Amino acid sequence: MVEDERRLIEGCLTGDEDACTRLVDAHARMVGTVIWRSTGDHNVVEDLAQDTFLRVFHALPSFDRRAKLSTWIYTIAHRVAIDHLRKKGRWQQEEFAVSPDDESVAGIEQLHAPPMANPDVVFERDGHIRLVRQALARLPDKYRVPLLYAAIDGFDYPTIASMLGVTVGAVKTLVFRAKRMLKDEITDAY
Amino acid sequence: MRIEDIEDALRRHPTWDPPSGFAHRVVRMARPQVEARLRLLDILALVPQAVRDAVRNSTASLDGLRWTLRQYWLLIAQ
Repeated sequence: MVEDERRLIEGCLTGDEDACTRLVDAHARMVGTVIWRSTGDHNVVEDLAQDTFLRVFHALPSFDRRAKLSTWIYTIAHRVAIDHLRKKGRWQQEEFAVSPDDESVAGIEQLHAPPMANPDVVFERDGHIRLVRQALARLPDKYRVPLLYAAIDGFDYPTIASMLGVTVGAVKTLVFRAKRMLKDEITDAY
Repeated sequence: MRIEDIEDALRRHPTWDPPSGFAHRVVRMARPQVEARLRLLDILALVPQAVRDAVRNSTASLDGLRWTLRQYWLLIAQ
């Protein structure tokens, strides 16, 4: 753990409000993004992000200093979001375990940005975004959530694996399978 | 549509920007539980080293602290 992070945690534990505020400021954007992507509901993000940080401050004394603070906070955000979906009866999956139906795809590379160019491309891209979002809504949660997390800037597979409580290999498989299912969904819709 | 187009569309999913004053609001809401923990730590400073060690070796959450202290007061009240 880096020294700044250690000091930040110590400050929060001794009731230093400035340290608490810096901790929230440093992670609020990602926490809200995790919640938005998993629930798909912008209206609940602020309340659930608040709930996440209240849980963070409550559990901070038992935080394992060997772990990465940000990953621990995002894991809490993920759980808060899933709890919300369960309460609403919108959560269909019990776990993110990889089933025998999921092909082994060890070694899949991370997402990378292709270059974008002229207005025609932009117009076509907007159509793609709409299609992808519609198809995403039809994906089972088990695939939808890891895929959306993998598309968040700065989230690598080890972080997502910690959040979901699965291996890095399982995350790669779920993301790869999700992209394939998404492509099939979109192809069928044409 | 190619996989690359799907990846691009996914990346364009918006990120959340916290509203102004969000961190201050959250910290204000969390203040009672932080202060409660600090009060317990103050009390803890008055109890014997063995009890403090027991607390440090416990989960050390607020509930854990309360439980350990309750056990201590129950013990000395006997």
